Amino acid sequence: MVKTINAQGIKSPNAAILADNVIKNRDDAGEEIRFLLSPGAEAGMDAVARKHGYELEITPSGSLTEARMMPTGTTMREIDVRGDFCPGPVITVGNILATLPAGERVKVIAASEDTLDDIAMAVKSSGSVIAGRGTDGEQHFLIAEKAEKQESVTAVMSKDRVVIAQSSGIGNAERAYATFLFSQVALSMGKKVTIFLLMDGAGIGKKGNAAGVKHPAFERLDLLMDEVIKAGATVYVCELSAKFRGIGPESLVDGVRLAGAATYLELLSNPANAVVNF
Amino acid sequence: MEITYQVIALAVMFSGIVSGFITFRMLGMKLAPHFGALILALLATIAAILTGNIAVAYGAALLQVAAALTAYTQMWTTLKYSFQTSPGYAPHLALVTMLPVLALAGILL
Repeated sequence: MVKTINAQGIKSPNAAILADNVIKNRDDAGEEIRFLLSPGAEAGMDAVARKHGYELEITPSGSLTEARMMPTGTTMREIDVRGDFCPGPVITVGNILATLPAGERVKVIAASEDTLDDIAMAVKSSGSVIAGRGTDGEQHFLIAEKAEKQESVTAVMSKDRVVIAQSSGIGNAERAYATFLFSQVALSMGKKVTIFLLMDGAGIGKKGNAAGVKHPAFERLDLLMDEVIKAGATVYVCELSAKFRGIGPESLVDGVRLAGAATYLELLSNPANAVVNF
Repeated sequence: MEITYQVIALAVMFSGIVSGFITFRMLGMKLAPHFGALILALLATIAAILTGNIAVAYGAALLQVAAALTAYTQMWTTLKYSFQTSPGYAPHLALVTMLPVLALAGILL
């Protein structure tokens, strides 16, 4: 169980005195307590933590500083999803988060930033938050904090983002061209464009493949794709589809990244996105 | 040299026109070398059947092999990464694969 104390606006050393009193009067000795503080107010918190046998973890949380006091001996749960690929990591993290009470955290170690992006997308979509993220040597990690999902009703006045899902690949030149020609049009209209290459579409993202697609009326496909990426479109290749075809992250076209199923589902379910399928 | 196989090859090439048209439309200009080889093979095969000339028939057989080879070299990348769209061009590949077999049969049998 995690108790959250909002102490923003209270300066040092008053914040430490408040923390001392809160811990003295806590209901449960094993309770974890999180203080939300104004920046700089964390001074003296380490002494309070030592006094009561707690471990202190200070992390920035938006415009605030978060001081998390955990009883000594308790450690944050860690999940290592290196060696696993989409959709495995997202499912593993989702299942663990579902069992945690609100406020609990879990550290996820992944093989790549792309996998973490996908996990972060799924965590946020489930209503939880990303409390931290970073790199430790060759390890990429994020800290997910369980929060209850808030139901919200959002009115979308205009769809200013376009998601183009391409599943035909270089086996259908017309659809491959349409993906990037539509992207150019959407970009020229000031829309944010995300292209998701999945199934056969994943083949377009491999270096050299698009260079083999040329119609007399249009620019060569790889040059067209390069123009679209440089103009600001985000291009993802489905990790699962890439794996299916033996395409690794090292063989992708520059500017193209791997993404998992969570990213795709989030793009589809976001009401601000207009979705086009090719 | 057995000219009967050239007749069968001609039938295969004619029957490949529709699937070839669709494949060409799907894959675009990368199939231009295959299209060129196929047209030449078709003309040489007709000439071999009409004249009965062995030298022309050998030339036709070579062009038939070239037509099959160019189909595979030009379509290999597509075959490697595109599974969902493969039914669109698989019939044409199946037909052109018969050509080198018939060409060899015509020469060896």
